[in-house]
Amino acid sequence: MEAVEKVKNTFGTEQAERKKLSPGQFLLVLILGLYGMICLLPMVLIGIVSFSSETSIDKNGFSFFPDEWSLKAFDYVYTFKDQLIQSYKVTIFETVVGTVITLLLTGMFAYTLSRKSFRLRKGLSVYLLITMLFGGGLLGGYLVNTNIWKLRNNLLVLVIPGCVSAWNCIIMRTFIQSNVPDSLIEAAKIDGAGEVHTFFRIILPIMVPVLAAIGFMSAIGHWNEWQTAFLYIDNPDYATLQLMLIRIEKNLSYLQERLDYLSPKELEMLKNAPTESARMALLLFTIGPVMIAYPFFQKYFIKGITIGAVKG
Amino acid sequence: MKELFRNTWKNKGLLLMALPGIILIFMFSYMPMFGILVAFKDFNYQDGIFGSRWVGLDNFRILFVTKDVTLRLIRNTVGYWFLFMVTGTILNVSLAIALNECVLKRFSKISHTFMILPTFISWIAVTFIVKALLDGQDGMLNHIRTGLGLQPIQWYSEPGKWPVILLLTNIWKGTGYGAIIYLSAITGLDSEVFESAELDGATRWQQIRYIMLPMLVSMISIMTLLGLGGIMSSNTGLFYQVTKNIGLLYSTTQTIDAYIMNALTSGSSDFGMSSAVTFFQSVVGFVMIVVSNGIVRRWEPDNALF
Repeated sequence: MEAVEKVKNTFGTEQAERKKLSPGQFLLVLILGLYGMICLLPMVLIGIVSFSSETSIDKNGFSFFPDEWSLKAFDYVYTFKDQLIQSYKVTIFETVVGTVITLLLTGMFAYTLSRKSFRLRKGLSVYLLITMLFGGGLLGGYLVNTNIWKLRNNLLVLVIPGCVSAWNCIIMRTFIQSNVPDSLIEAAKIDGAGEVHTFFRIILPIMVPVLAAIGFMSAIGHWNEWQTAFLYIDNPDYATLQLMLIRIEKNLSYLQERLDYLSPKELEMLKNAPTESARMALLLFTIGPVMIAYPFFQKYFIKGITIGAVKG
Repeated sequence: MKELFRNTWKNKGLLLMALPGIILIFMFSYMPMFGILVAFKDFNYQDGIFGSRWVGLDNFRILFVTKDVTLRLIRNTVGYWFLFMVTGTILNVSLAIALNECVLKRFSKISHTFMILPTFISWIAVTFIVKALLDGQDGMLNHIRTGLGLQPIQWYSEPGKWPVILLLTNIWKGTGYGAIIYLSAITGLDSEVFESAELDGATRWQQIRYIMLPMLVSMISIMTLLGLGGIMSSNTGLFYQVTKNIGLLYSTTQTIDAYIMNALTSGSSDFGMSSAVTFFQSVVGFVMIVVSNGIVRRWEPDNALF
């Protein structure tokens, strides 16, 4: 709502200033506005399709201007609610736990890297750097996770692998080095605070901006993550929202491809399968939270990218 | 050595804090490096990564036997990397300049907010959106085409169209976000230079062309060089999901990572060729990072990774 208000205001001032706009500026505003719309419209389309009636989709395809509006799609979502709620739980678990673990472990690791009096830090930096140079690719990770760590159908696979990444460590280390004066840590030491205590009581509060930036990116990353769930999770109880959508699409296209050879049971499944608008409605439920959260966090992640850009 | 031990013991609190990171990095970054040793093994699940039989270079022989596929994977991976790098850099910089030049600051901010949105949408959502546009039956484009009296196109069975589709999707998903870093660089430029250029009668175009762009060149080069390490990698969201992993489209859409993704999810446990490709991918990636980092370090040591 706030965003709508803002747009209105802008268009208001734009109209007031249009007289003053040079032709070049006018063209620029036009292009930026157009591209902004192109970026936004697909999201609007998802919303419109989920409120379109199935007959109007059959007739006109996906359209911004359906012949007929309908709430049918949400009836389906309601019948599907058990899986939806379960998937919400798993996704929220992945997002919250994944982000907290990422911030905590990366923060602690980065802090040790920032301490000049810690002799081991050189070795640890190299240890971290090597992971940026060489990796096992998709396959290496897959084989290790399934064959050695036995993480198939284990919720930990969604939050643990990759929670300490070299890039995030470097960003946090740089932030600590440029924002925490050595004298502060020395002072804490003189006051008798141990390292762990110093970190949690003094360093963490200073790190709030970088924690917000990396935390937001990490949370979005976890919310949108599909590959890990797709590779390792079969159990529908552990399916994230993204995996739930993949499954629905997969099952449907499997049934549709074999349309002429379906057993009565499969035909029944196809009949009960979610319609186009129902699938869009489910999609709306998975991207909704991100779209709502994003405007509030925009300034944090922009700061984060900028911190990353000036790394030392 | 003794000194190091003493220092570490003195800082055992720090070591304790680094420990979870050290262990997890070992488990999930170092172990997979050993994992690709299966490129030299005949892998099976019972014997595991370490127990499987060594077969020397047998797996790499498959790469040559099926060299059409191998070459196609490399061509697609490197080709798309190159295409995305060139278009991405040009568009990111252009958008950043455009947003900066716009005199309606509030408008420029809000439109940028919209442009960043696609970055935060999952690839699954992008897959749905692309399908809504291109679907043979209900797709929006086909309905527009028939409305104009044109024949509908079965987009999902025409590989020739996909480089453009993937390029546009990639631009849509990443440009608003990619502009952020250049925009912040431009805002950080010394405004006095522009003011004095304006006093000397330089137009805004000339200021962009002769002052702003040259000032951005080193940043653009560094971003490109650092991106070089990913020349053998590609986004499975784009190349596996958005293309729906449709066999008909492989010739123009399957990259190395999409191929491996397909191998992992197809249920077969024959990872011979996949592991050989992965090994190749890792080695080339490694060389690229070392080389590009070397160049960056000579140029601007502050921006080098190591």
